[in-house]
Amino acid sequence: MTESPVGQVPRSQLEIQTWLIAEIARRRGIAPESVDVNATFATYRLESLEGVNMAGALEDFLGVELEPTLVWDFPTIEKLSRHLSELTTWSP
Amino acid sequence: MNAAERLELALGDPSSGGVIAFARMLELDELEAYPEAECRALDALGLNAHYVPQALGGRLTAFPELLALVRVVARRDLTVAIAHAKSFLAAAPVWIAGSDAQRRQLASLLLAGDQAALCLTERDHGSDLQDLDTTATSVGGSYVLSGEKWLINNATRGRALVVLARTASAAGPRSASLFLVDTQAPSGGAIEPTAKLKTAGIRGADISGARFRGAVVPVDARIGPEGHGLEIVLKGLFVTRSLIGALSLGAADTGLRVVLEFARSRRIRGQPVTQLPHARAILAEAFADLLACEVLAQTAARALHVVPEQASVLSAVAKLIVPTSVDASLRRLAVVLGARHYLREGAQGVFQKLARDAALVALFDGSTVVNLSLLALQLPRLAAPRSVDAAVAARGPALFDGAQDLPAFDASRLALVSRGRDDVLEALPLAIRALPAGSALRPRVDSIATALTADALALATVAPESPELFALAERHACFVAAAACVHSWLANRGAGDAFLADEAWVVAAVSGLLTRAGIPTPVPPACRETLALRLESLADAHRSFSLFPIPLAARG
Amino acid sequence: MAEAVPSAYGPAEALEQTLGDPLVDSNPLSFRSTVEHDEREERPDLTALDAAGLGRHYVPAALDGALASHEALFWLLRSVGRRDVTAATSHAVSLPAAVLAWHAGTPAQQARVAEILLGGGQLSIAFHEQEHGNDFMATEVAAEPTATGFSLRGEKWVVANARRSALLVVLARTAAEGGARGFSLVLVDKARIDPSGMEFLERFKTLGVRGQDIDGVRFSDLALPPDALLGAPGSGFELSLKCSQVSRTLSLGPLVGALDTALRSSVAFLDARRLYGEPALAIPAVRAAVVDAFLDILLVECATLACTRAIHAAPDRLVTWAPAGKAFVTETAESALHDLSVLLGARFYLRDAWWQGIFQKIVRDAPLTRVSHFGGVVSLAHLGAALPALYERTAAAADAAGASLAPVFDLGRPLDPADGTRLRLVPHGADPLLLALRTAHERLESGALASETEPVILLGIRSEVARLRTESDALRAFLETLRAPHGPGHGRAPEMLTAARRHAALFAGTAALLFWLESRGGLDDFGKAGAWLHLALRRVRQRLQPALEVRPVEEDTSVSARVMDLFHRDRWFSLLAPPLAARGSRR
Repeated sequence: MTESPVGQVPRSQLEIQTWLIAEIARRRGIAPESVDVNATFATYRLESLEGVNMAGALEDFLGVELEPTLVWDFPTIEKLSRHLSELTTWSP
Repeated sequence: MNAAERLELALGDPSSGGVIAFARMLELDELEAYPEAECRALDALGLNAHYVPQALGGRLTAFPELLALVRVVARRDLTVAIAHAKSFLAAAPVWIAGSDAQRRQLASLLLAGDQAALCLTERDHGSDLQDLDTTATSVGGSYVLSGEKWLINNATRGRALVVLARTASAAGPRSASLFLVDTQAPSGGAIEPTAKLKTAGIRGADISGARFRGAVVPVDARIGPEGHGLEIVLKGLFVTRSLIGALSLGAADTGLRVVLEFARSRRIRGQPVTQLPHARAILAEAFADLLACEVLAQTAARALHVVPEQASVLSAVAKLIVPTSVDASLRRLAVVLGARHYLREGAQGVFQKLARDAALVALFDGSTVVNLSLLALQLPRLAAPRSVDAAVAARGPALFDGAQDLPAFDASRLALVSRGRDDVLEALPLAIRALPAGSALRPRVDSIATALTADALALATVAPESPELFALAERHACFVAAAACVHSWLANRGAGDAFLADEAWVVAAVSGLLTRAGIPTPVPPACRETLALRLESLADAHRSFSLFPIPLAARG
Repeated sequence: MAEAVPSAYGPAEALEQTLGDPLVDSNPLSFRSTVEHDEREERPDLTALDAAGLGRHYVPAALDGALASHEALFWLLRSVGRRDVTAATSHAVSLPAAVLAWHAGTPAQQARVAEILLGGGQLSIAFHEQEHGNDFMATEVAAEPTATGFSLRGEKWVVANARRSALLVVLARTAAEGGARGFSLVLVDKARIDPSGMEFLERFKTLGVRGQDIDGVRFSDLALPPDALLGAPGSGFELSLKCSQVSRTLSLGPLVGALDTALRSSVAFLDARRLYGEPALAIPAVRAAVVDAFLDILLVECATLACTRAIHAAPDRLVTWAPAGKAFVTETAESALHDLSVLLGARFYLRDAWWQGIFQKIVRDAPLTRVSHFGGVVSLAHLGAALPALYERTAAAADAAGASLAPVFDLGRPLDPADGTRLRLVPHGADPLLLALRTAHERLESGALASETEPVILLGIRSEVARLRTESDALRAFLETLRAPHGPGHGRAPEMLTAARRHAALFAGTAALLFWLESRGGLDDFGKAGAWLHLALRRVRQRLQPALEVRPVEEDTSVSARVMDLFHRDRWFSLLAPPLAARGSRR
């Protein structure tokens, strides 16, 4: 399980990306090196509700609430991590 | 008298005639005929108005009331209940996410007695809604619908079709949009109903399909933003899954009543069958299971008002537990009926119909497998330890006390995941503290607490989609249901009724749920006897088998 | 991979070839035809079964029939049942009456019954009455002695095939005070009676097996000749109890066959289906469900074969084995069908969508076996009542070598002729099956089979056998506690029924173990290897003591591979796995 540091400053795109790679690798039982940051979450069968669920774990990591369907609207690791790192307002 | 009590009396006694009579329903079932007259009668009694929010001219304000109304119909016949109430299931997504114009349009149709159908599934995709073949292609200020929906309730008779169709070429959760289609509006292309499917239960229902051959619908027929169809449907299903238990509860009430009457009238070696320990135990435990399901269904319905953010969890729990528990009860009750459970005629002929019909409820709007998956996905966060917070305690009465008012339903608070929150389990430590000394509930509730801790640890070791994970999800659902029973008992035991104050019903209910969770827990004989006596007394008083019994329509 | 086809399968194999693939609509008893007849509540066309001489297998060889081995008859009924339970029960409706005739009939009576059956006619038994159900001691239909024989009066309720059968065997009260010697069996031979004394009442409409004729019969002072009495006067109850041990065992064949179709149709559906981009069967939970259904079939097969072979090799044990087998098979069948229905989703209740809708028919047909032929609670209660003494005597049998059960459990051994005189009303001595469990446990613990079995599998089997034995001891202790509050005569306490169910599960698990130990030599590699046994015993244990456990992945995988292999090669879901009619074969 990942740490959930509540109240910390938002993370950089690289930190978020690294977390997502590790999370997908863990859920699918594959090597992190083989995870493609430009492949859609559907490629890893993380579309739909499991993806929403992953967003939940991501919330714990970031210490903020996220709209669960962000995973649907930004459906690759690269897009999602970039979007999150660019958000200027975070609600703790 | 509340709306459900009024409807119950207005419909008359089903065993001697009435608006929805057992004998007539069996005839229609043999013929696979749609219960036309019965549905019209329900419209005349204004039931359809209860599917429409009050703000739109209908009578829907609180979901527990809708639950009670559907149960009144369901105890008479499930084909009728499903045929009629299906319109609500189809309307839910529109109430949740429709524009003002769409909501008014659908309200007007339903209030006029027209029906609606929810068109999701296709023959080759089952419950996978992310890769649909039915498409909605954007052309100018319209969409063109092409494709075929299959296994849809009311597809032929429904005037309004709520259709999920693909609007993006790549498959996935944003690939589809939802549309409100009026089949009587000009569409420039055909919308054809497809053949009725022959089913083993609810044989008279209109389960068919719709074929769209380039049907043109205006862009304002689209419900919510493009690509949001799945999200809206999922939220709508949270509402309907919380209410669908009403069908099972009605079937269980009648099943239990038929078997009890048989067992009381039938004598073996000079004793009525109800006095034979084995039969008496089955009847008592079936009653306890029914009460447990009733509590769970009501909690889920109340939760839609109090904690809509948690609907994803509580609706899955209710959908998982209630229909399957009733199916199991009916199978055990069939043993008491013996050969008669197998006959399609006679005083007990209605039993085989209601059992066949009830068996389908587990499959509607999200099968067992789907709901187990939903729960399994959220388990890690649900299982994380959390201390009780004051807000949970404060919400308790609204959730568990039937006499409390409910806040208005706020659909905007529906969430796809509950972020690990579940008031029912979170409040369990409070309930434990409130248990009276020496209560037989204490060891049972301690079992639950112990199991939850053990399961949380086990969760870390099980693989995704594994049978072990599904087993944990099923157990979790049983524990939530058991907790709801405990809360309900604590909240209602002061209501003045000796049966409610006595812990017999909740001890039996929790024992049954623990056994289902894989922790065999016996029902103490004294509890069984209290339940059996209560069952007989409710039957004598001609009242429903419920924690809050209502008078049944008098025998003709 | 050498696969021994059991010799008992010969006649059924011929029948399989004759009937062809039930998925081919034009074949006799195809699924299409089966479901259509069921929809119309019409009796299926049984001419293909008659032409194949199935009826000859109801008549002993000594009377010019073909019945020598009940095991062969089991496979025949299993083969019919996998296509259509209604066809099987409609054709084999004669069996309960036939068994009574072979057991208790005079030469003249037996000759008459053989004549009817070999001529293509049928028999019925008339036991149930509307007010008394399974409570046969309350039977009101009475046969009063007259100057010319008997006068039969009263009404029987759900009688299968009454209108069509040439002869009915009726349970009638022959002593006003009733009691254990107050009832007798009388033969109502339609060729020898005045038809005005017998009236057929309205046909019953049933939930399943809709095409079978089930009628009421009213007797109004029907005159019967003196030789209408079957067996000694007052022996009706005793004969029914004894012969029902055989007929209820035979009644299981069609249901076991239907289970094969239920699993096969589910596997076919899942094999073709993709869920979320993957084959459905790749999902571990789905695969586990398929494996569990297959294990249930193996257990049910072992329980049924044990009882069937016991008709020949251990008839004195049937008094407890038959009700245990029936309870286990009927309850396991219904729960397996329920579990498979979850996998099929909507297809489980559509009447013509997948495999012509055969699954929903099987679901409705299955409960009939549970309620008929002395089934249900009464049977379980009788078993429960016999258990305390049985377990006590078994525990007291300090030297564990009971009679060898190899004649029952070695499938390669030919069966001795069935000897009905060895059937009993109460069990005697220790239960050799429970003793054999003890012996097997000791043998395995002292190294038996270690050189021929994979260590991991053997460890698993040993662990499960040890736990099965513990369960047997626990059940004995539980039965002890039951004696105290209710007394030895009280056979109806709910706990007694629970004990009977637990014993039934133990029976099935032990049967599976004993088949593996005694018949291994004749099984193929998969059968010998024993992974199936490990998982089957585990499944029995989980039934008795639910526990959250991780499934043994490798063995799960090997069993699921076996299921797919049997499916693709058109062989029975069975320990023996003989061939089915080839896919697509036309008659």
